Amino acid sequence: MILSTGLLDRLLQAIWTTALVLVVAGLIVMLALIFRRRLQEWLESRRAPLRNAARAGLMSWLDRGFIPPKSLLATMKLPADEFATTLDETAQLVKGAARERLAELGREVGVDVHLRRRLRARLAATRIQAARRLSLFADDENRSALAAALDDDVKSVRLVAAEAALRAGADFDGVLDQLWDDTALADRGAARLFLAMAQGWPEALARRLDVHDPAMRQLLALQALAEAGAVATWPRIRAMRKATSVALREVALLALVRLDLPVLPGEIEDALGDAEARVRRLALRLVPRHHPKIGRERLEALAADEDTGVRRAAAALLPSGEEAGSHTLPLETARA
Amino acid sequence: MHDWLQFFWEHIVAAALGDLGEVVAFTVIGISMTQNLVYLVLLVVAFVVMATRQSFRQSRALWSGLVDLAPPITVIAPAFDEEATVVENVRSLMALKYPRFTVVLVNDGSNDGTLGALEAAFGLVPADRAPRSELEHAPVRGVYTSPALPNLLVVDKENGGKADALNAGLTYAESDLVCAVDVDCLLEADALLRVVQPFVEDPDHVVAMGGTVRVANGCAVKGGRIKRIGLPGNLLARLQTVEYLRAFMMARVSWGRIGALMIVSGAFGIFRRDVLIEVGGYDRHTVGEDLEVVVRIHRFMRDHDRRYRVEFVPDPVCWTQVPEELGALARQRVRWQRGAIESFVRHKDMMLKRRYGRAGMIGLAQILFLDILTPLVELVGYVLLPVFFVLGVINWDFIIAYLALTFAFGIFISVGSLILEEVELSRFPRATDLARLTLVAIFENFGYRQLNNYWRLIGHLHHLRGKKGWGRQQRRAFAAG
Repeated sequence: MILSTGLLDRLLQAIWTTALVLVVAGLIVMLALIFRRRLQEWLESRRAPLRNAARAGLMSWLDRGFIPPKSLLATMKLPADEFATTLDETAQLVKGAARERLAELGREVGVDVHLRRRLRARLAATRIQAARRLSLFADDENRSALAAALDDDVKSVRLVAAEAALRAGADFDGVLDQLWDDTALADRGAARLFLAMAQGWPEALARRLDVHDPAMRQLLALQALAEAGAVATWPRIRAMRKATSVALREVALLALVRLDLPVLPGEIEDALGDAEARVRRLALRLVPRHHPKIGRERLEALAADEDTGVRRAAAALLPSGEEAGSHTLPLETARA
Repeated sequence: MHDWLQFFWEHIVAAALGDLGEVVAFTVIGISMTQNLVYLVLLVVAFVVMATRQSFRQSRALWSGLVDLAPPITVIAPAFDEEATVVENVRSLMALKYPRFTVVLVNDGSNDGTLGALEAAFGLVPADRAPRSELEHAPVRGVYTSPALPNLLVVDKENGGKADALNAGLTYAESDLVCAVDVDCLLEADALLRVVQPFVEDPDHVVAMGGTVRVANGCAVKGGRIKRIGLPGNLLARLQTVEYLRAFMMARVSWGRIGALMIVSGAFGIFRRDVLIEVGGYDRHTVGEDLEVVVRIHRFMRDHDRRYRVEFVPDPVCWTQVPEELGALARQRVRWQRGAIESFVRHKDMMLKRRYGRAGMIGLAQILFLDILTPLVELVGYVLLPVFFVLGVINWDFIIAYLALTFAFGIFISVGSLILEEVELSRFPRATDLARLTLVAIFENFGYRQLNNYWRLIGHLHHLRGKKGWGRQQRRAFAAG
């Protein structure tokens, strides 16, 4: 019988051994995940009440100048890192002088020293957390520590350190000069840093826009300026409509759409004549909402475009069987 | 004479039975092994896709990124005898976060007061709306709009089934994209935003998109939205929770990446309207219209040498109530199997033809292999392998290998899907939920899996008998939050 041959027996053994190894490995990983989740829940159940009490104490201290004994006790029971978290969370609820008082309190109990130490931790996640929290402490020592973290091996640490350094009052151009050619800025993960820059230093960021630079950083900068509603920077954004990179021309157009400026119909008209079909297609998609008064002749010309997509999009916008010069857009878009 | 019979039995019949047994045993274990290897590949691909996908974006970021580019969408929701829930379901659909959308609710000749409930709730008035395309469907009795909700259109028609109702909705859709949903499903508020992105990025080639459907039993619902994710208390629903995770997190994510996704769930799917109309809309003569229409899209696009993509997003976008009674579940599964067989039989000529690309070479082949063939082979294995063992045709090693392939691999694949969910999405809020699901993932292989195979067998028999129709269906309200 074939089934009794040694080779087959070995094959059958290999099958069940592999299956068993896989199932045991899968169950071990799953149990580890369940254990991790349970541990997180347990830690959270113990620390959340202490954090809440400590936060209430900090708010009381800000309002009335003293910490109630119960809150003080809770604060003392909190591990240093948890207290730093609470301090950071409380700082996000207040601004101005109250924020500075919290930073002062943090310095008095050594939170900044603790965070600077954590900035050199082995785990990148710990370094990221420490960098983010150090943004509360706007003094030279912490700014230097954050500037040093701009050379970290891990991209996300460098990005968070840059954001924290800016929030801690570091010189914008100084930080950006150090980071501008960093590959971290070519990453989608840099979007948060760019948004922070666009919100806090829109003009300075807009000065970095360059029509000849095709790098991702330009694209992210444009998107961030639009997201932040940096209307004052529109001339520089408009200039990017002439960028050499097609993607940048597209994003610049979209940024102008987000800023919703009176120049928009003109920019869309201009984009409809772009050498790149992708840009013309994008501009056509913007027509119904942002340039409804476009001339019929223009659409007819685009309906004979060399690109199929442009032709189709333009034809869809051309109303059928109506008088010239009185066209309305298709019902769906018009109603919207 | 007696000696001759004994000789015949011992040397001819027994030898023939032994050889036949060996062939059957080899076939069974070979098919089981191939099935598990396919699942293993799917699991690995799913891990890669999930690990490399664009990070889960917040609703606000999605909105700001897409608000100016998101094309208008018509959401088509067929309703049949939904008087109790239809108003809340429509309100839930109207509250979707999306810049421009219209809801077309199709009342598919309901016998209850579905239309009356809609009239009372939304003050419907007759609308002068002509169909924009020609697709076959049962006669339309009236079209209504709501002065208060200009983006709601109600199409009242004679009963014709779900596919017929979808076709009717399609004829009244005005936008380039249509979203087919089950009216009794709950959509995430940003479901359309999550799924529309590929259409924005590649409008010329993406023709269909599916999203992950999750089990809503056990979740708290408020205002037509999932407020708290929980596990169902009912064992059958819990078993289906693991099943849905495996089907969507592992299988559809992977088939989507491989380019052989053959189904976009009927509960939630977005399509390009022109393509749906070109392929003739939904097929009214099958119970698996969601599978059939996607296979037909593959065929049509390939036949016309057009470049296209059918994609899938792993983010959970739709929540559905699953059956909690054995009878209802059996009817559903038998119907699904019948639908799969019907679609396969209709399009079997596409299989293994290079002309049909991955849809033909992989997609249809996997429907035949995983959905049609292997459940039957597994049942054959349960019955025949013990018999062969008793007859001495196969040995212990063979039995153990088969059991390992069936049960151990089954557990591994289910647990692997759970790991994928926890590592990449972590949507179950508590550790105890994960522990319970792990137990379910283990024990579903002992009983539930075999029951599913049995229902698939019944589906085969119904197909052979030419049975038609959906059978009786039940509606249940969601748990309040």
